[in-house]
Amino acid sequence: MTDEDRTYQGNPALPGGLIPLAEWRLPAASVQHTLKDGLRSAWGRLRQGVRTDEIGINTGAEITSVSQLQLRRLAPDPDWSVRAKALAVALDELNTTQATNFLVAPPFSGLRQPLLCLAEQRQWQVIAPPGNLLMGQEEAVAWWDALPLDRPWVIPDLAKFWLRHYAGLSLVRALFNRVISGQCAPGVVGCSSWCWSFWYRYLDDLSVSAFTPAPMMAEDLSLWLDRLPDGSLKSPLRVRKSNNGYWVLPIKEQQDTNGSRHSTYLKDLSALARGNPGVALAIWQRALRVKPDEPQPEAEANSGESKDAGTRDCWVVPLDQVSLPSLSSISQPAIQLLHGMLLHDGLDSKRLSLVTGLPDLEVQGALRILQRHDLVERCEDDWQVTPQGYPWIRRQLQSEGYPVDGF
Amino acid sequence: MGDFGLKEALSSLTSESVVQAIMLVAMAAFMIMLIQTFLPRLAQSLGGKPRLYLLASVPLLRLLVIVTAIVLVVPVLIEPSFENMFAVFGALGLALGFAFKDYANSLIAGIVTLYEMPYRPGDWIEVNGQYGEVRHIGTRAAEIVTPDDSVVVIPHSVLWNALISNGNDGTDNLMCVIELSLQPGHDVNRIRSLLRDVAYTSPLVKTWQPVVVNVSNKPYGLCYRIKAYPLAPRKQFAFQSDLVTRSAEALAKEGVSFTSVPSMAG
Repeated sequence: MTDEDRTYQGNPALPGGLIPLAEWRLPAASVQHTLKDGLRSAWGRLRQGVRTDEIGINTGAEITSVSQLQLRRLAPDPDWSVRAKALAVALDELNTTQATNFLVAPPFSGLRQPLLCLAEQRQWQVIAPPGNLLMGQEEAVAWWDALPLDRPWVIPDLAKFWLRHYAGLSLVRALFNRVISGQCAPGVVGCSSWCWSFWYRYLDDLSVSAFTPAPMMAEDLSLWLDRLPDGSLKSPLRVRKSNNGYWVLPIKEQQDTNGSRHSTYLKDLSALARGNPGVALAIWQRALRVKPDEPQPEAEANSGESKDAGTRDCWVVPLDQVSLPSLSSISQPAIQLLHGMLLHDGLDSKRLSLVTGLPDLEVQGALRILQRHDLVERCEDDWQVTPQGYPWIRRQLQSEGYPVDGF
Repeated sequence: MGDFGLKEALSSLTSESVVQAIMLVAMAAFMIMLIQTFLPRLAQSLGGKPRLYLLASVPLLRLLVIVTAIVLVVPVLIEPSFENMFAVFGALGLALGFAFKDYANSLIAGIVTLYEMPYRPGDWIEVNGQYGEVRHIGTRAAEIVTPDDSVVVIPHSVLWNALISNGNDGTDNLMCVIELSLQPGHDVNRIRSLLRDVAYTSPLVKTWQPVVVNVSNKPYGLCYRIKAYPLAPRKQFAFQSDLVTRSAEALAKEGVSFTSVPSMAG
């Protein structure tokens, strides 16, 4: 699915709705666009000569990173209840005979929180995992039997129901048996793409179909970023590239900005984030810059009265200049920990030690290094990879031969 | 023609052409040194297939440089007529045939090795009971490094009459087989399922490759064979150790014991 062969549909919070896993396609910056952009850029430079300062800002000193307050105004975190509403509509529209729907999405793409909101909106039962995940098959069956699965239910994150340990598979295996044999009321299971890829291979004759949010292409991203946090129309976000002044937002299809040139920035951002809105937003937030002399009504962010303001103007540095977390070399324990975290959508250090087989001391040491480099963060008791570190981590795991997700 | 016309062939030799030839040979040697030094280093920093491809390209690139050097050097030293070529290669053939028969045998086998590729750098091979990773393929011999960090030099001539077992054959898929001999009297299906879970949950397993547990009955008990692929051939020993450790732990919890020498004797 590309920008060209797809028309915009649905809510900006869930563009393209839910699609079968097999239909998911990686967003890519087209060669044609890249070449055209390169030629246009070269021609522009030739024409401009030394007049580049009239359009863009060339020195990093002229623009500054945005403050937390400005970030809340220019690129706030999304309101998940809006995505929950879009998800509810998409679920109702799903043409499936399955009583239980499996929704699979890569980390940070916004599935867990919307499912929790959805359960609250529709009074569905949220099933939480037990404290002890190491149990035998009989014990697992008894655990599911004890739950009132005769009314609609939601599992927001299946990755929390198992451990990559020979004694940690029973709960999910029993759930799949129950779902396939139709022994429960309609339900929705949210599952991280990494967790799904493990179970899809483990149960090689798995006969359930799964759906995923469509990847966010450039056009989807532009609308979503412009209307953050809640999808409502507010003062237009106008963003230009810091090195050449090309327009990033609004994109060309949306509005003609007086014949000015447009950048393929969002297309490249979409490709870099692999269509994952959470990762795209994390990179976008790091790329945002403001001119110190530009008025930034920071008070608006607090008062929430930005809807009637004029415009929100800012700049972004080129993607290759955005500093994303990475390590020049990574140890085997560290990479095993990263893989374990992704499989389970975050784990505490004790369970990380269990699933990787690494001694506690080694786990703690590797976690500190990863945290120092902004690749992992602590969320309550669990350690998770950071959204801005995710592209590098996925690439690294793939190059080291680790099983990765299909997204 | 007592000297096979070699004297006539070399009559055009001048000191200038010799210097030119030496410079060409020196340049070729320098390029080979660069290839042999930097490409393996670069390969070590990579993982998966890129590492294997890069390692495999080293002998090919070296052969390319050698052939190019010969093609460039010969016309510098002698006039490239049919008679001259016949004389030079005839003399060379005689010398090799008599004095360096075994060496020539290995050289030719080395060229065949590059063409047939029974092993490449990065492959895990077993030749005449020696198992290790091919680190270097020279003109005459290949070097493998055993798991005990010993370098074994294997002349290419063994290619003609030895059985060569290649564990990964140019890919990064190397199957490991773990044998566990257990005392009978347990639920075989349950143990097969448990051992599959043990292998599948190893942090070093390739989950997209098959994980199979076979069982056979032996006089000393039930023999289980776990077959699975580690993430990379280099991780095979860590993978095997992990499987054995966690299998032993899981089996102990199930109350199933390994067969031991006294029980086998009994």
